[in-house]
Amino acid sequence: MKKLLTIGGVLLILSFLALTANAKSHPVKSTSPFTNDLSDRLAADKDFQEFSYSIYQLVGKLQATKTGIIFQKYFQHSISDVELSTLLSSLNFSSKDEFTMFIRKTILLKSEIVCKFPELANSNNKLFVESAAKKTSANFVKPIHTTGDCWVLFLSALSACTQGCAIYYPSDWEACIDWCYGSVIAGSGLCFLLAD
Amino acid sequence: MNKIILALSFIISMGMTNMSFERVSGKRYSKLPLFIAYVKKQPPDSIQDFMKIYLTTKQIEVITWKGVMELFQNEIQVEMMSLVTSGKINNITEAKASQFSNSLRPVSNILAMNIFTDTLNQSNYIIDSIEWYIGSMPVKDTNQVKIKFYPGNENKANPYFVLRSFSDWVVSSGLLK
Repeated sequence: MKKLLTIGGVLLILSFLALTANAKSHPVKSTSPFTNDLSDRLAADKDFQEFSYSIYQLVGKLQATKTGIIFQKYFQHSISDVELSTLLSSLNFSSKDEFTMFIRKTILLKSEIVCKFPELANSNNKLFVESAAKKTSANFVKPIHTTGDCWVLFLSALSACTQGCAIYYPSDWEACIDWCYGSVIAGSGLCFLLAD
Repeated sequence: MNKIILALSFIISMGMTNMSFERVSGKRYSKLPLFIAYVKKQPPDSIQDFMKIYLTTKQIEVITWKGVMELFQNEIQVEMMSLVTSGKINNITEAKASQFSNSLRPVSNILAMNIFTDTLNQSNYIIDSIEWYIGSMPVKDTNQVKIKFYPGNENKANPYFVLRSFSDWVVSSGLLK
């Protein structure tokens, strides 16, 4: 997860640095020099949050499917039809148009952010972007829990079965417990599935 | 990351499934569904069927134990995923985990009934009295006060009249959540 955060952060910073030259030509909105730290303002910005989330999702998928090199080839216009098909299915895009729309939307978001925060044109501010990316990602990247964490909750839920069946179903306690344990197992399945 | 995406999709779907008491039938009910537990002696099927049908006419969704368990499963999943996505599950202590079952919301009302019949009259099903209380699954209160219902003499010979009066009494008691 740390690696993913690092790579995502680097990608974010790189994407902003690549825009430095263009940023000067965007209409600049007034921003007070007396406002909070740039990273705080960035982290609170909805467009920046959405942009960060898109980037992290993309990086995660590229990592999981090992399609980073094909992804690079796409932007170098050297991607083959077979590779493009692999890339689209790996990133869960149904068509090239959908993928292009995603890229365009991401670029538009980035432009919006640079318009709102002209300070980003200064490459010395990359630390603020990194800091803001970390703050934003903390909202959707949670530490992974373990199966042990699920296990203690699972045992607690079983106690509700023991109690409920004893009170409401004493005539067929065993059948009741079977049903109930089955429900607890099924209900906690996702917790175990997501555990590290 | 896939795990995070799976969790996020779950949160979105969770918000859509937990909005109201709309069940498989597609009907919308203002109260939680009801399971009727005959805690000691099982009455004849005709009596159980009558209770189910009559309460349904009173806009109460009567479900089976299987139905209760399906709702219970959903509640466990929702609460566990809430802990997972908030990060509160990480390194949860046993003491805190033991409170998990208490934090589960009731998914169903339980009408626990014990019907006492006239044992001297074997040919007819004559109801002498009904001991009952309203509980919930999961159990929220283990010290339930049992209430006694005595049928009026005029309709005592007909068990369906008695059950109708009893059901009306239960519905109007305000104990159903």
